[in-house]
Amino acid sequence: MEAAKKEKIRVLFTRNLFEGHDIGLRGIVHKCRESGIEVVYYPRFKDFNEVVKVAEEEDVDIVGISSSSGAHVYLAEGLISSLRERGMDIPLIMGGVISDKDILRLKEFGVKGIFGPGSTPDEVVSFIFTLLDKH
Amino acid sequence: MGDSVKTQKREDIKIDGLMEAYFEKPNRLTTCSGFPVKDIYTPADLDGIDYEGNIANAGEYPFTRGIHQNMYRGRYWTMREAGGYARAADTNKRLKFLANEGVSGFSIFRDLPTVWGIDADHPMAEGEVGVSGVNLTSLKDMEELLDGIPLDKVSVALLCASSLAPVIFSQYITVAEKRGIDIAKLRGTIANDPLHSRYCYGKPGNPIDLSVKLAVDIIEFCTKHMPFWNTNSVNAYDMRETGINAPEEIAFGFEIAMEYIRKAIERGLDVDDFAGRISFYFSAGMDFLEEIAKLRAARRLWAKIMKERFGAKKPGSWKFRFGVHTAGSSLVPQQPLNNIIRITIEALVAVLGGVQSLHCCSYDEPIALPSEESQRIALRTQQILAYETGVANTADPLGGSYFIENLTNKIEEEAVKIIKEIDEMGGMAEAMKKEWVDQKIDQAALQLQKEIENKERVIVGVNAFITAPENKTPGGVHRIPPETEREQIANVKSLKETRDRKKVKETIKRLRERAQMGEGENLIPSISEALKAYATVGEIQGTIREAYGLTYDPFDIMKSQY
Repeated sequence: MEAAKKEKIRVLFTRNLFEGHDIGLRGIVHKCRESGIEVVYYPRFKDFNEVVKVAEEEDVDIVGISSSSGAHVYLAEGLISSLRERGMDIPLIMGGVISDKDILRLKEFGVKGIFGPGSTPDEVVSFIFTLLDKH
Repeated sequence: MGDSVKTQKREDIKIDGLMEAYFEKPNRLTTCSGFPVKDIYTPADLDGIDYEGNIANAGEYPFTRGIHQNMYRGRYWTMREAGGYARAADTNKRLKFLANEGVSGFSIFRDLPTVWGIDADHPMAEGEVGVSGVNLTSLKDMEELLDGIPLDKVSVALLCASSLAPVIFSQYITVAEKRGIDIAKLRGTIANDPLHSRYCYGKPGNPIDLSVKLAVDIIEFCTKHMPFWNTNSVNAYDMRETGINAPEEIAFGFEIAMEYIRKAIERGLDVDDFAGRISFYFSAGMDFLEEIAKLRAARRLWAKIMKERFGAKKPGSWKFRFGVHTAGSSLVPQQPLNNIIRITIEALVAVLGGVQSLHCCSYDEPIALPSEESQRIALRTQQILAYETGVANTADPLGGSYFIENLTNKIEEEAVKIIKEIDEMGGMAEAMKKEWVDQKIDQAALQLQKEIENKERVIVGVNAFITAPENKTPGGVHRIPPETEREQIANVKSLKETRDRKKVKETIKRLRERAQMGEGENLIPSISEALKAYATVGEIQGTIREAYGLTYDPFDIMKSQY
């Protein structure tokens, strides 16, 4: 991939095929677009390689997963290892119904930002800007 | 409005803030759905309303005031609290706990692999087994789940609103049959609504037409064999939870119900033979008065639709019978004990709105599946309403209120307009195929977010009256035992090795032959036979899918072994 600086930050937002909840994610996608972030919205993925492939093809800077079914730990573990296998160092952020105890576990796996219940779309947007500034 | 995190010392008082609070007044003078609200409502707002024709006493057409003449004086609403997590044995324990605390009905919630109709040992199920409900891969799970529960005496709501509903329903009646119980005596509800589920459970595994065919199988089977069973609980609730408004909840729910009714009539059933067992599942949200008016408007409109559009003649066919689940989307994780108050207000909406069956959410739901303690409080909320407040002593106590009657009319008028729009598209299935419903949901979600951001909609603890985040959820967080998935997968694998393969093969073969006979062939009896041989949900669904020209596995990973 050519290192030429892209004009805008690009984020892939997606969720697991089984995931029903999406009010939160819809709000975040909207807020990101309003803030000048280019969003690739991939409604649902079936397996981790699919996410890796889309992230690669769309040349995104961040992958965001929404999970409220309770499978977040499984999803984080699987996705991060799939990204690593492919040699990709794209930061992963997650949001949804995630308890405090699990937030610690997700951080250990290397999830960069976790937005549990009560987080706002604005928090996600400012996190993305801050993270990519440093990245 | 006090919206900043308290950083001052306790003894400091912000005098400006105090003055501001004293003079503060409501800034949003519309209902949640956007109907303008006037200073006061008077007899002039009831002009043109004919009591006998438009409102009528409870128990009389069009049932605006309730479906029974004496409402709760005959019997309280059914008090349910949903149970469903981890293994069947875990859920069984929770159901017994709830029974001992005084519920008058059960409600069983399944996990997502079950909704999809894949077995626990399917590779795609990984990470989801027993997580958001109980896993019901085979009849063995249902047997364990219902162990010690007298099926001939209790009312059970099976919440599995997908095209797998016929299999879960058959699991339930098969357990009853094996215990020697006459299925004609079973009382309960199956959330047999695959159309709504595409907005709420993820992309469905089966195409719309096959899903609706299977839904009609349940209606037909119950019409012939199970007079006390509610054949559909059409789920307007989940639609409302996406953010749509009150008239849309009514219109979308009714349009979905009409799809099933039309198909059941095409199957050859007489509308009066089954309409009395169609029920609904509605939300009760925080706009107290509007939500009560919504339930009254729904009752009146449904009566008209059944009588005028479908020509139903029996009064039982005209009655809008419904359960309420308080609005989960109104609950917030900030200051979570406040949710108990929200749930109480919503439960009161349901009772004043004439509900038949009520489920109160638990205050910890924005954070996790409910704990025993939080579910007990949810149940106590219902019991306090029933036994301490006196609100159940008379039918429709708010009937005749100038505002309520006026709003009931407005909501009905708006719902009628939306129904007309959907009719013109060719019905709900068509509106779904065109993604018109998706657009409505998307617009609603954006509007909601904007209203919260600009504080047009105030949510205490979220955009006003914020306190420092609590470190712990009061009462603790309920966690699914981590060994659940591994154990359930092992159970399923061992079942597949130890069951009588010959019997599975024979019953699956018969199911395939029946399924190949076309849409008119009711598959419930052959599903039940296959279940008795311990065929799994994946095997049963796969066999039906193949007969309909689809891949055996919705993910096209597994192949049929039979």
